[in-house]
Amino acid sequence: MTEALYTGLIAIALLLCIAGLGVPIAFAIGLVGAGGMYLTVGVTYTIITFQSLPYATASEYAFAVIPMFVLMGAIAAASGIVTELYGAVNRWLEGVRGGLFMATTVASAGFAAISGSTVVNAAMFTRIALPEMMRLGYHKGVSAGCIAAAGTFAALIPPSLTFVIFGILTEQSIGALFMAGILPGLLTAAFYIAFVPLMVRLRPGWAPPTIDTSTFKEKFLGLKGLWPMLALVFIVLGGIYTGITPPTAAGALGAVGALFIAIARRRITTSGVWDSFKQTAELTSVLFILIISGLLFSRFLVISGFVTDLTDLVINSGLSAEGFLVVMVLMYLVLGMFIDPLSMLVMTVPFIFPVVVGFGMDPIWFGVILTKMIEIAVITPPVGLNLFAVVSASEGRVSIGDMYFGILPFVAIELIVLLILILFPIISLYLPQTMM
Amino acid sequence: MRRLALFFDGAIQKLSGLSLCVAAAFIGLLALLGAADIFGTSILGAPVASALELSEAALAIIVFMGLAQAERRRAHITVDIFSGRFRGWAAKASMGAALISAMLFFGFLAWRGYIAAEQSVLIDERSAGQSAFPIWPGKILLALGAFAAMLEALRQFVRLCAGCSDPSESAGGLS
Repeated sequence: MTEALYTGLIAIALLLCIAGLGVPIAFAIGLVGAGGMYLTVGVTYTIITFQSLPYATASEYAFAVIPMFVLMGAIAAASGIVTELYGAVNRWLEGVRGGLFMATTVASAGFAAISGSTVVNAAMFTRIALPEMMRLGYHKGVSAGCIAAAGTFAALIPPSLTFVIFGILTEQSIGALFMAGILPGLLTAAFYIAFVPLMVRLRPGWAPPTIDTSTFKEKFLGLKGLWPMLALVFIVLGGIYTGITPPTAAGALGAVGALFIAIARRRITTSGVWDSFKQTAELTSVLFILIISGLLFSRFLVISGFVTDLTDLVINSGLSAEGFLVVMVLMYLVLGMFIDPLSMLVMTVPFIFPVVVGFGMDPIWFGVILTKMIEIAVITPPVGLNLFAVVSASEGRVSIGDMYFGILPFVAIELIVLLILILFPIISLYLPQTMM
Repeated sequence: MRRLALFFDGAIQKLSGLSLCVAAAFIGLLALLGAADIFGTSILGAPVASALELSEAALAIIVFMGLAQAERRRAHITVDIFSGRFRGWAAKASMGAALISAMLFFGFLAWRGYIAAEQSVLIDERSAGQSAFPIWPGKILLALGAFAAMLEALRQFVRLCAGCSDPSESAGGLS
């Protein structure tokens, strides 16, 4: 093993120890990166990097996509668009056994198209869907599991914060990553919907017999509630796919569009708008400090020689690309039990991605696979982030034990979809290849 | 001494809140600017002059002016699988380590940010866009934002040392 490999491994171990002590990930990564740079190439390079990199990163136009999509999601959530979406879908599916599982899946996928955060998605549907599911006699653990799992669609269906951060760290096209996530996201939702009838047939106690109370007219009129969401999806994804708007401009248009829709329908107050702005500003700071620290750490790993040596070591070890992918899946499943998705991304991508490129894998396809692995990790017990988001938003209705039981069928479905995405890269690459 | 500490405690919290308000205002501006530019370009055939450069400056201001409030609300992502179980002195030590690392990180950022801002002011650094507006105000706000975040971490650290159970609380709880 070379000296650079030792240095990098010590830095990663130190980073995990500091983070384990409760130091925020951004500071742990940034300080270990700065310390590593200082020890490897000296003080001048370190201070010049600290002087130039933060402003350069925070003033990059392409990265303004983050606050814009966060704002769009915040306004959509504050203006009740999501509740209407869920109501409309539910009316159509209430006549099917397990219909609320399906409605939650469809509405989560819909909200994922205007929000980029899995935790926000899961927490929101816990408040909207869980009380209704429990009132009608659905199994509480499986209901909570469905909400937590469907919440992860936000990571795959654009606009996804995971894709944006992956794109920033690896210098890949954010627009292409967004397009690559659409079909895998829809495929996952389709698998959930297809498996629900099977689940309730094998375990009838998980969903009550059907009660179809809405008339066709009510169902039809309920579709009116879908137009704000569809309009936003059309503006954002249509613009990116056709090449009319770059992702940042599409995000700005989506945010302003969400605001106009909310104001025109009198669904948001001035203080609601201001709160959304403040919430977005705070989250933007948190995400950018994490990204800046990740880039500092990444720069240290590159200049220390760790990335080159690790890539050579893995490629010359005789491990095949498939073997490497299996190791990756296991690594992310284990890491995801302890670390939140974005931190995991920032900590691992700097040294994993060069190896991926070294194996000749398609970077966009790998972005999708990585996101899928992270998605599975956040719903894998014992410490999946979305599991806790649902349990805490359920206000005591669901225990963590119920959740551990209820999430298992969905983890199984996710693993099947992951395998399909690995075996058929075209599912991820078709839309980016046809993008204008 | 206690009154002075309370004064600084309140002043730093106000500074954090004020910084966030500046960041929030720029969020609105960034959204409007982006939408106006794409509308102008696609529909009217007249883009907003220097929209890209203005957006870049606005983004930098948002990122660094929101830092102090994020630090105040402890919004930075933490892996609390182990530290969440700490009690008593271990919890205090963990919180202290988090605050010291925040002070170090933001302090370093503020220091180098100040140097970069000073150089930018000296050369009257301007954007390369159509209207060549000055970008040094953005760099000054970077240094100020990081400094405010460092002060916020320091405020919480002092409160932790003073025995407060929740150092991020408002000044009224200072024992």
